[in-house]
Amino acid sequence: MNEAQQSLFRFMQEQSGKILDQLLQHIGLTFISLLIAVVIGVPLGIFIARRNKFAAPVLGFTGILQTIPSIALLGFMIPLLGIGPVPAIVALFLYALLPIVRNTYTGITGVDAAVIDAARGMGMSYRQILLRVQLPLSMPVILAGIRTATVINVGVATLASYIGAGGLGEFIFGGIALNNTNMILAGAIPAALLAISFDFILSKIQKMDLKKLKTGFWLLPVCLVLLSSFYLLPDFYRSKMLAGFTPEFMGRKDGYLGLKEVYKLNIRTVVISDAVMYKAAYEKKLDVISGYSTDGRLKAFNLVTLKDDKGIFPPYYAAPVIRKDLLQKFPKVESVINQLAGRIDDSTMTELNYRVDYLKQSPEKVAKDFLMEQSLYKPSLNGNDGVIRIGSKIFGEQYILAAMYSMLILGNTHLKVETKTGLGGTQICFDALKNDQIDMYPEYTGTGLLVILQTSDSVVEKLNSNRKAVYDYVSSEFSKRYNLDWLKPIGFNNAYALMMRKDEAKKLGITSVSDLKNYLNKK
Amino acid sequence: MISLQNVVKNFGNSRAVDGISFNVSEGESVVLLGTSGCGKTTTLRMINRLTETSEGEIVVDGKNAKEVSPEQLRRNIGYVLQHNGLFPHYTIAQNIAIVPALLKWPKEKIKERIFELVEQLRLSIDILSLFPQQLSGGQQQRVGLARALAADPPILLMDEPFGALDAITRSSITKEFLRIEALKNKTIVLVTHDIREAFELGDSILLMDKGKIVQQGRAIDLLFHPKNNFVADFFSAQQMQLELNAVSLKDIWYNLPVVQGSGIENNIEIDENKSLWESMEILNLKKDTSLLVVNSDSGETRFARYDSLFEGLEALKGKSHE
Repeated sequence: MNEAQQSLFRFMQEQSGKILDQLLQHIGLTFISLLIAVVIGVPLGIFIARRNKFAAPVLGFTGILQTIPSIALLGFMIPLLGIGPVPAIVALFLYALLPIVRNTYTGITGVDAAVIDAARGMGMSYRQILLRVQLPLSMPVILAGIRTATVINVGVATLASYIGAGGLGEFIFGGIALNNTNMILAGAIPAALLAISFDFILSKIQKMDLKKLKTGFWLLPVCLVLLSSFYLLPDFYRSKMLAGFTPEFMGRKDGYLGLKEVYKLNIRTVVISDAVMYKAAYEKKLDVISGYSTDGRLKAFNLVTLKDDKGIFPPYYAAPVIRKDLLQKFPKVESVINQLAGRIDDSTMTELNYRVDYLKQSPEKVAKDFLMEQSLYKPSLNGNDGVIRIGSKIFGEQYILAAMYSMLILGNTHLKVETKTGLGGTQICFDALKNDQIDMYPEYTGTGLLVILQTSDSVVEKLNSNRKAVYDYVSSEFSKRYNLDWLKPIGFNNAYALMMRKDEAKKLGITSVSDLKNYLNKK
Repeated sequence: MISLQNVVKNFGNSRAVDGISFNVSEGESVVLLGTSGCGKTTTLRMINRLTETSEGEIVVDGKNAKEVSPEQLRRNIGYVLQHNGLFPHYTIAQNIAIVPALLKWPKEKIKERIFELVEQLRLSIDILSLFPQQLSGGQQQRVGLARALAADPPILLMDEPFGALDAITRSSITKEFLRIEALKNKTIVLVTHDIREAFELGDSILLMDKGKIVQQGRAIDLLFHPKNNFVADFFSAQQMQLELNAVSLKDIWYNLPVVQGSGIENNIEIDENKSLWESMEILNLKKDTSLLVVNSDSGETRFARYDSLFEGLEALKGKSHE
C-alpha cells in the first residue's frame, strides 16, 4: 500500500498531532503579524487622514509592498532577518498593512463632514473628535480592512514554511513535492477552513450595531493577542545544529525518514524552500541542508556534500525521457540525443550549473560553450520537417540540458524545436509528456522510480540502489505503463545529499552522514 | 456681546471676507443675508474660530476670541448647522448631552436639562432613545437646536438652520422658533439666503455682497430706504409680500380708522406688533371684515381692514420716498 492510496481521513487521523501543531503555528503567524499591522496601520491611517499630503506616498508605498510576490518578499527577508518566524511575520505584516492603512484612511476621511463640523463647533478637541466620532463611525470600514488582511494573511502564511516558519504550508508544499494528494489536502483544508471561519467571525463583528461595536473595539485587540500567543515560538536556539530540509525531502523515504530510520540521525529540523536553503546555509542560519549533488550553488556557497555511507539515497542518473510515437516518426532523433550520453559527469555538471546559477550566464550560452568544447555543436539547419517539443523542470540544470538537446536537434536534423522550459515540478513535467504536450524532457532515475512509479518498498530494496538495476527497472516500467522511452543516461548522478559549510565540516572532521550523527550524539 | 472690527479672510488669493465690522448687543438677533458666496458663512464661522481670521479682531463676551482656546470658546457658543450634523452613532439623548458632558456637568443635571429642552422644543420623550436617522428632517433640526442650546450658552450661531427643510416645514418651524422660551434673551447671529426668514427672525439685518456689508438695518429700513440699486434689486422680486411682512400695524397706526360706536364686541383682537401680512391672513381665515387693534401705550383701539392696511402701507411708502 503506498501513501497516495491511503484514505485522507486515515492520513489526517495519523497526522492529527502534526496538523494541530501546524494549525496553531498558522494561527499564531497570521495573528501576530495582523496584530502588529493593526497597531501600526491604524495610527498610520489616522495620521495620513489628517495630513493629507502624506496620503499618496504612504498608500503608494504600501501598495507597492502588496505587489511584491510573496515568495520574493520572503526571499528578501533571508539576508536581513535569517529564517524562521521573524522574517515570516515581518513579510506577513507588510502584506496586511495596505488593507488596514487604506481602509482606516478611507473610513476616517469618509465620515460626514457636517458631523465633524458640528463636533468642532461644539468645542470637541481633535482627540475627542477622533476617539468619539471618527473612529466609531469608521469602525465598520476599518474592520473590513482587518478582515481582508486576515484572509490574505491566512493564505500567505502557507508560504512561511518555505523559510522554516512552519504552519500548514509544510503539508501543502510537502504534498505537492511528493505528489501526495492527502498531504496537500491535510494542509489545504484546515487552511481554507481557517480563512472561512475568521472571515465569518469578523463579518459578524462588522455587522454588530454601532453600540456593541464599542465593546468590539476593545475585544478585537484582546482576541488578537490571544490568538497570537498560539505561536509558541519553537525553541530555535537550543541544540547545536539546525538542519533545513525541503518539504519534499522531509516526507521521503530516501530523505529525512531514511536518515532517521537508517542513520538514527537526531537533529532539529525546519522546513525550508529549495530556493533559499543554500543561501541560508552559507549565512550560517542553517548548519545542514538537503541538496542536490550537482547543484551549482554547492560551489557558489562553498558547501560540501557528506558521503552517504549507508546508501539511503538511490541513484538519480539523468537521462532524457521521450515519447515513443515521436521516435517512430523521426527515428534519427534517438541517435542525435544520445550524442550526449555519458558526456557529463558530476563535477562537470556542477561546474555548468555554477555558471548558470551563480555567474548568471544564460543556459543557452553555457550549453553552446559545452557543445563547442565537445565538438558537438553544429549551426542550425533551419529545417522544416516537423516540430519536437522539449520540456524542462524549473531549475538551472534542466534549462541547460534542454538547451543542449535543442541545439543538437537543430544542428543535426531538419526538425524545428519548441521549448517549454520551467515547468513547475516533476508531476507537471511528467503529465505534460504523458498528455502529449511535450515530446521529451530530462528526468532522473530515482525520481522516476519513487515519485512517478511510486514503486513499493520491497521492490526498491531489491534494486538496492544499483545504478543499472534502477535504470533498467524504470526504463521497462515506463515503456510498459506509459509508452515512454528512457534514452541513455547523460552520465552524472544528481542524487540527494546532505551538505554542510566546507570550513565547518573540516573543523569538525565530518565527511559522512555517520560522522554527523556521531558528532550530534556526542554531547 | 459680539464685535467684529475690520475682519478679513483670504482663501489663497481670493478674499472671502473683505473688512467687515459690526456689533451684536446682548439679546439681539442679527441676520447675515446674501446670496451664496457672499462671505456670510465664513463671517459666522470666524466668530467661533472654525475659520481663523486673516486680519482684524473679533471680541466675544468682552474677550478677544484669539486669546481664548477655540474649544473653550466654542463650548460657550451654541452652533446650529444646515445639515444638522447630529452624530449618527449617538442616540438623541446622547446627542443633546454632548456639550454638557464636555463641560463635565453631573449626570442628573444633564438629564433634567434634556427633558426641559425636549418639552420646550415640543419633541416627544419617546425619541430620546432613537438614533438621528430614525427622525424626520424637521425633528432632526429641532434636535440640532436642542443640542446647541443644551449648555444654555449666551450666544447662538446658526448657519442656514432651516435650509435643508422643505418649504412647509420650514415656515412652520420658523414661526415656532420665535416662541421658544430657551431662545429668549439669547444673542443670535443667523446666516440665511432666504429674505422672508431674515425679515421674520432678525432684529437687524446685514445684507452682504462680495465679502462686504452693503447695508445694515431693520427690515423696513432696507425695504424702504435701500442704500443703492443692489439693495433695491435684491428685494424687488418679492417686494409686495416683503413689505406686508416687514410693516407692523403699529407702523401704520395713524392710518387705521378709529373705532366708533357699536360692533366692537364681535371683533377679534390682534396685537399691534403683528405684520400687515399676518393681519390679512387672519382676516382671510375668519372671513371677517375688520380686526380690533389695541395700542399698548395709550390703550386706544382702532380697526384693521383690508382697505386701511393698503392705504397705510402706501402712505408709509409715500412718506419714505419724500
